[in-house]
Amino acid sequence: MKPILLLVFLITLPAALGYWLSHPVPSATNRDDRLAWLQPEDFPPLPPTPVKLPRDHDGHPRAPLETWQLYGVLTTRSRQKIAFQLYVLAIGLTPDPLHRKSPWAARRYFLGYFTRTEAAPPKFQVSKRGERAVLRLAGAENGRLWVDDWWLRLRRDYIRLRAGVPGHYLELTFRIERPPSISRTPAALRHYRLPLLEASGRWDTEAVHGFAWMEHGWGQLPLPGAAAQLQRFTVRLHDGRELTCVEVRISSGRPGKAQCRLDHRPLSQARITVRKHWRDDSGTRYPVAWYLRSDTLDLRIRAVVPDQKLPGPLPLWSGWVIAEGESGPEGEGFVQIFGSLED
Amino acid sequence: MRSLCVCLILSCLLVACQRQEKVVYAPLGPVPPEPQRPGDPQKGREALLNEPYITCGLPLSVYRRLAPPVPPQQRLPERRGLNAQLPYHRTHYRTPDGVDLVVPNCLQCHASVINGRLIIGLGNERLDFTRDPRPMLESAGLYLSDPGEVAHWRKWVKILDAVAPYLMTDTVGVNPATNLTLALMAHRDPDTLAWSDRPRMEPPRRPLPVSVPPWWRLAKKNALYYNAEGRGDQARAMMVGAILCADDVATLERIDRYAPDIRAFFASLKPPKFPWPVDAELAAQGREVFERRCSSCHGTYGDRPTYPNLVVGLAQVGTDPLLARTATDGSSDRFIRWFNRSFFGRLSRAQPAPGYMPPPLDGIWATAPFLHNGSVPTLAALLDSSKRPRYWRYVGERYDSERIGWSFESLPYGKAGAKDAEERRHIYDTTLPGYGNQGHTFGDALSETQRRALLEYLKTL
Repeated sequence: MKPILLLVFLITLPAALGYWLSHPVPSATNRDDRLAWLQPEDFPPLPPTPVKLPRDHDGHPRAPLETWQLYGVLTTRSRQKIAFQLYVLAIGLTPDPLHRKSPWAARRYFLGYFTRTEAAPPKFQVSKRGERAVLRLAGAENGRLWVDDWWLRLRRDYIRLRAGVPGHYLELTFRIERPPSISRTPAALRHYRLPLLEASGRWDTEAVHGFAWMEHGWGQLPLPGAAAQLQRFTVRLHDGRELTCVEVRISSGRPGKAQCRLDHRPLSQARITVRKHWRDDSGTRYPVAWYLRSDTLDLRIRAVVPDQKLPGPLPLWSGWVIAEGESGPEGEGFVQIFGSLED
Repeated sequence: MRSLCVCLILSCLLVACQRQEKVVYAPLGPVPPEPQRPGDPQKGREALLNEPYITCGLPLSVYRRLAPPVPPQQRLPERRGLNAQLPYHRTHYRTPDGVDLVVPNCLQCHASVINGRLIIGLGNERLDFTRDPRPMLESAGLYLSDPGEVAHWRKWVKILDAVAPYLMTDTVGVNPATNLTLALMAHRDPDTLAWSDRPRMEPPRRPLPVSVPPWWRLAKKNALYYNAEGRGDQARAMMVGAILCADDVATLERIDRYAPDIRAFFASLKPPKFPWPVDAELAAQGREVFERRCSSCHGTYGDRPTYPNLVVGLAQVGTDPLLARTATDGSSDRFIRWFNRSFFGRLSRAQPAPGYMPPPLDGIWATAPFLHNGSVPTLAALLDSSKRPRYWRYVGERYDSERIGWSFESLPYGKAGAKDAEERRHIYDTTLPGYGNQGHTFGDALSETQRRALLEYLKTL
């Protein structure tokens, strides 16, 4: 009887974990206690080695948390525009290397989200994958990141992607032509971004092409339920320049200090004002339209679809946006909002 | 008629109450000694390294997650408890409501490493105050969810948010301590120390550059700071930095119990010895030059040292006048009144003079850059004004044992000619107000041989 119970337990554990991670229960406080078992502070400091590619495309099992994000805007042969995002989160289950010989012994859990956003009619679809890093169900090594049947192949000068739902897969190749942008972060974090990748491939059987960004971070990444909200803007302007902004808000009534760059040059006097919010089913508010004002650039930015929140324990709104200037559309890209603030 | 009289009397009383106390500046010339409370240097060292005299900072949990591992040379094994695991410039503080914080301490600005050795009391002249500290501090909130920790983090954010605009310098290495203190005074009630989100008076917007003086000078000086404005009890005056976080006088009173010990520790500090070879014969020749040309202002050294404790007028010394002038032209009177009316003014007083105090030169070899504003990068350039660079920046972390100062390079352009903001931050531009490197040209009259000898002698102090 005992072996049968053990087998049932082992089979149901990943599913239970995946369910548990993706179904938040409202809590009285800001804190999500279901994630209390994550103990990022127990993980050892990252080695003081600088980021080096393509080596660091791979996973970093010593890090408590790690994310890979690939997101972009594609155009079909029929001129329809579609945005996609692949978001993979690797959660460290134990800071120590595994000594057990069991093939079921896992050091990390991989959680993947894949989204497809259409503008007309407005539609936002999310699919998920969750696997422990055992028996090659998920992992990130030797230039390959995979969760179940989704995968990325990460090389020095190109990336390949396959993700989607059965029968509707996106297969893309991205050319890496610009140098990576390596972030200035605290010692406990590493992060780099591959700017403006050219993308081409197929969605189902339809040829698509477009542009995308890839980001990879690892270390002491923030956990949900925090006291501040992070907004990150990544926009490709129609003249080819790239706008990036980061803003941390600590209260809903007060703008944060936006740090913006236009093609890597700081944008002076940048200020971000929220124009409009959207509420999810739990009543949590997320900004979905903004003014970005600076000495040299003024934009109105708005979400193509207001509801682009990823389901699950991560209070993460991540979506396709359009940037408009005085004379109409000036670019498009993505905004990611991590965390939520009380009204 | 009776009510009119009452009104008049009340009006007179109101005017009398509102009349501001007249600010009296100190004269040039000798600074008389004043009684100092006795203290125990050993206890002072212990308190300096372990007591949380700054009572706000980052929650320990987020500090542990984000701060880099502490290199062994940044740990002081004599520190107590959790402090032994923190870098020397951070202190553990458990708040009355039980939240563990990591708070800054004096050593952030008052300890420095030269030639691989940490020297407590030596001003850190390489700190970068040009960046806005708020985005990084606010980002820490992304890691906090415990309500107690969040409350203390918010307090720290609130204070830094208010003072950061007055704190940021435009040059790496320049210390904004004076402006930070003035900004804090602007936000606190002088009687109660209660915080006000809106400043009660406008602090100076732009920090004037100040080089951090070494603590061991305290043993000889009768007044604190370059313009001798810190008069009376020095222990009380020095703890003004605690108003960064202290919200009431009771907190200051707790710190004041050990402040005289800390002052005694400062006064007991010996300057570090020059760690490279010295030509003793040349230094002996330099001593003669020094005692003939320099000692009337800077004192004498050796077995029976003397120090005249003078304030020298701007016309005589000729160095950048802005710091001394702004303290005595009436524009800073509101801060002088604040200090003298506050808990600090009970034992000490702010009384600036319209000039500068030539400092004691003990350990001067280690105290580059020179002059009160740190405008002259080396001692060699201080003694020969033709060698003072108009525009310069530090290069690497090496201490130049020949020219005596941090390695630097001269530039053909100032901040206006910098190619980008990053380069601009690193350029010391002596053409800017307050940054001038003029004056103190007494070495120009010496021969090259005399200057070399004098430089050699200064290594031995």
